[in-house]
This record gives sequence, C-alpha cells and structure tokens, in this order.
Amino acid sequence: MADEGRRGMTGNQEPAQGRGQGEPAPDKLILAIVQSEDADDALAALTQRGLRVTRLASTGGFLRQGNTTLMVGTTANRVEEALNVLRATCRTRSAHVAVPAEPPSLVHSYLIEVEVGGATVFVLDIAHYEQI
Amino acid sequence: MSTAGRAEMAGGEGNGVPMPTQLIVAVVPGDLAGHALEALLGAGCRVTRIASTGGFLHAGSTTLLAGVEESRVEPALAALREACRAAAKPEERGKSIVFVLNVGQSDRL
Repeated sequence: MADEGRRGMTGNQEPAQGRGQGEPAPDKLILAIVQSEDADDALAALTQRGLRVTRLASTGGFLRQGNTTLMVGTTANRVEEALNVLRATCRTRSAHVAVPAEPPSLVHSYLIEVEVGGATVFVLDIAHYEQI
Repeated sequence: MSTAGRAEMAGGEGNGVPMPTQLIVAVVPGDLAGHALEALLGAGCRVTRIASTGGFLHAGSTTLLAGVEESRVEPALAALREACRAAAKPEERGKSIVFVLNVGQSDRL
C-alpha cells in the first residue's frame, strides 16, 4: 500500500503519533510564542529531536505581526534541550519600520530600526497527562 | 487545599460557579473536535476552541481549553475519554492528548 510505503520512509512518524512504550509521560508543558517566520524552523528542529509540538496561530507583539504559539509537552529533563532549540531557531534580529515624519516635511517617513524575534517562553507543570 | 481558598476569594462561589483551579488542555484530531467539545460542555465546562496543527504532516487538530474546578476534572476527563473513544476512527486512537495544568489564579472580569 502506498500509505505503508510512506510510513516506512518516515522514521519519525511513529513518535509523532503517539508516545512509544516505555517513553515517560510528559510533566512539563512549554508554551513558546515565536515569530511566524521562525516557527517552521523551530517546529522542524523540535520535531527532529522527537519532541511533540502542537502549533497554534496567534497574533500579538510589535505591530501585531503574526506570531505562532508552539506547545511542547515534554519531560523535565528535556526542557533545557527544547529551550536550546528555541534559542537557536528564534533569534532576535533587527527590522526596519517606516515611521511617518512628524511634523510632515519633505521626508515623508523615517526608517527606524526595531528588534524583533526571539521567543517568549512559559514552562508549566503538567498535573496530569493522558492519551486517549 | 489552598486552591479551594483561592476559588472562594475570587468570588466565584457567590454566583454558584466556582472559579477554575485546573486548566484542561486537550489536543484532538480535527474531526473529533466537535465530539470532544460537546463532551466537555456536557460535563459543565466552559470551553475555548483553538485551531492548531501538529503531529504527522501537520494534520489539522483542535486545541480545547477548559478551566475547571478540581472536583470537576475527573468527570470532565471521563466524558472526554468516552466521547473520543466512541468517535475515533482506528487511526485516530491514542491521538488525543490531554494535559491538566494547575491554575495559579483565575478571574472572571
């Protein structure tokens, strides 16, 4: 079956579907609010390490640029690893934003440099976990 | 437990709806979302539904948030289990994930 073939090729499909036997239940939930443009990289890097990620669309931050909330359920001993992945993939960078000149003059607007990116991270304790 | 005291202080007892002390976060495959939502509502939870993606091929899923008082967690989870098990296709079994988190403080404004 075509489906079977695809299964065989994707090594990480099984973990992505359900926790393997013997794998400890997660006791920490990481909520990471990242820039949308970093989200794909962060998601790929986390998934590659076998971390389970759920992605939520959200907005917020400077100029309400799109951002993405990633939910990662993991064990306490892997939190630092997940944070390192986020540090590596969600770097702060500078962007230029046009600001209207005040008062209006020959120059209509100025470009100012702002810092965007990075990640806002909350790590919460999971009181109970189950897979249905 | 201190959580009960907190719920009282928040004033929820007065109008008959205690303030939530636990947050149920359920991530369910897209087509189970309706069933899961109904189950939580049936168990008396207030539910917020968020579109999400996750798992293999970033399939569509729905994240449900329900703030509940401690005594309602187990009935809510039981309703959720029953609904998801009844409605899940074979390939969806075991794919609904539930986290229960402690709520530090909650207010209805």
